[in-house]
Amino acid sequence: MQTEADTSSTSGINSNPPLRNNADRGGMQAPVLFVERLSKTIRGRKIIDDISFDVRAGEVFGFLGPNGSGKTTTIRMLVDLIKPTSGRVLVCGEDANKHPERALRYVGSIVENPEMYGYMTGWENLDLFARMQDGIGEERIAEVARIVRLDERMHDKVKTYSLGMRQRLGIAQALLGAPKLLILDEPTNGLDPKGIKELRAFIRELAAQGMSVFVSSHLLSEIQLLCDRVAIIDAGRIIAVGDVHEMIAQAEAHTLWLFEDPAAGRRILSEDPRVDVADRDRALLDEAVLLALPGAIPTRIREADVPGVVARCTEAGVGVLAVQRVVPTLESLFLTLTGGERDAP
Amino acid sequence: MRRNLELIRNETVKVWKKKRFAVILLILLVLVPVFVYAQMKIAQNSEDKFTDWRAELRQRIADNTNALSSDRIPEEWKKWRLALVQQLQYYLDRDVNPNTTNAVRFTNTFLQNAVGLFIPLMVLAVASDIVSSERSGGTIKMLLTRPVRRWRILAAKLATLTLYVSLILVVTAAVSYLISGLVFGYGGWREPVFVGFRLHGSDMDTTGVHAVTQGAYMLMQLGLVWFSAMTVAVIAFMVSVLVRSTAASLVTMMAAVISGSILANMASSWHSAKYLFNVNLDLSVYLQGSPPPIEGMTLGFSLAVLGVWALAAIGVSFAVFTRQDILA
Repeated sequence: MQTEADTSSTSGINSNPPLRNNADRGGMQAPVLFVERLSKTIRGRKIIDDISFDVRAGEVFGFLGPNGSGKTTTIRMLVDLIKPTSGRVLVCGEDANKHPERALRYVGSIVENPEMYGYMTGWENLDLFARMQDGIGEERIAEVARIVRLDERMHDKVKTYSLGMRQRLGIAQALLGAPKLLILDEPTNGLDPKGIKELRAFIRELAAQGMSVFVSSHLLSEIQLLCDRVAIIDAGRIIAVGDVHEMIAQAEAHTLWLFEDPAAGRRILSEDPRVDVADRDRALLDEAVLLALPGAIPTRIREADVPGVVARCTEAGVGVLAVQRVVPTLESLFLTLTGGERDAP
Repeated sequence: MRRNLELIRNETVKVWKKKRFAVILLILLVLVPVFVYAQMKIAQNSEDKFTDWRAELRQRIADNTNALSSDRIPEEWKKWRLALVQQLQYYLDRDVNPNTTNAVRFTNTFLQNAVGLFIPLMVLAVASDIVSSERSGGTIKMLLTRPVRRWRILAAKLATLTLYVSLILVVTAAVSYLISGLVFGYGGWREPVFVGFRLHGSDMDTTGVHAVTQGAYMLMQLGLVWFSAMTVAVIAFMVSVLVRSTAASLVTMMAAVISGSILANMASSWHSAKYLFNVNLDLSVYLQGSPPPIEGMTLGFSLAVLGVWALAAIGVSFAVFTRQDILA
């Protein structure tokens, strides 16, 4: 049986982020965003508890957690809207809370909703924010307006904009200063599927040009489609930082087996050392998938071992009806990660 | 320095685009003609009754002197009437008409009556939401995540507020002069006004009295009104930093200003009330030589009280704004 310790060493999940960050700093160029042991206590309640992670140049970094887990509070500390109780945030080596006037030059952000001055036009809004920073002229304003495809409506009042257009104006504002780090807080909120798809392509494009993008979300699927690495936060603590695909593919994938004779099939699976029958994980799987395959046996098994096990079942005369790998939901990934921590020595 | 000017420009544009100043101008354009009409009626009335201003003045002195001997009038009112009688007598003795009708005198009288309530309310229209609107609108998150220190943003807002307060006063005086001039004529700049009356108990000390032109009087008055309007403005500014909702900040300040004018009428025996900013707003009483709302108040005292309140408000505003967490 595979232990939790094995899982974490092979999957790239690291339950001890500070160590990982230090290791990264040794071998690579300084990260664009470096968050070290950040904590925030509000009225005696610890909202954020000792979190650390880093974002490298040109990567899309996901910040995943359920609502109320501390995502927005963390983002507000990254852009100096909230002062941390302890710990620090470095953007391109500058402390965001001690020298915001230096650190925030490298950052474009939308915190929660993209609220702008509704009584002014899109252009006037961008002009206003352009004046707060050196070296942003009219050409740059026109350029970002073009990038977010808002140039036609630039001279209309913002209060006449749709939510999608406000979102794009917010992104235009964030891009004005050609930032090295773009912070987007739940950017797909309120967008239709087409808008979400466009946004995804847009973020990818920015990352390809070398910009680091920090995206928060409560949807695993969104992070999976968009991000290179992810930090998972729950109740103010980071429970995992790592490669999104490794995390999903190796750590959490279950394989469902459906036999002609379930009892015989179960016997073979539990005798085979390559297979870990994981009935206790049943709660972590997507209920819809389980309902679609009544009698299915959840297991943990390496992908490469599947053909061998199938062959063995066939030899034993137990007909295999279906073998299906299932992608975990956020809830399952999440419960496994916290459960893993609980089980860890 | 260039960055500071850009920030001030930004804040000025925001207030302008919100059409706050347009509303103030509109209010003036509607109300000033109403006051001009009222003043015109008064002038017509006295013209019907008296052929000579000296006769009118003598009549007023006699009326007020009679009222002084009545038992039913409260002590403070008596003091006020006594001062008035002595002033009118001074004008009569020197053969100077204190009640000519012209645009400059109208403007001076209007400013004198507006300083306690009207001007503060107009100032609040700009000051009350200059910070709180950024919070209730959520735009503060964009504003404070730009690479500019918070104190600079607040300083730009304060500078903008100062600009608008000054503009409001100049425009109030200008609108009042221009509209009343249509009726009363635009003259009167060089007419004399006596200043420097001092009250010692019930005696009027006239040794320091001298004549200034009405134009000079208007400048002095504008200076005093500016000081009191700025005090209201920075206190409203502080409330705007402390309170998230614009409505709450406006109501708080209106209550403070209005209660000041109520207190001024009833607090003459509660002496420590003179340390409240809102009973000190009417600085023009010192220029007129009328008795102050509470005994022991002088021009220097009121300026000091207002100054201390204003500085404290600015201190609190900056201390809170630069440290506070923007949670929602």
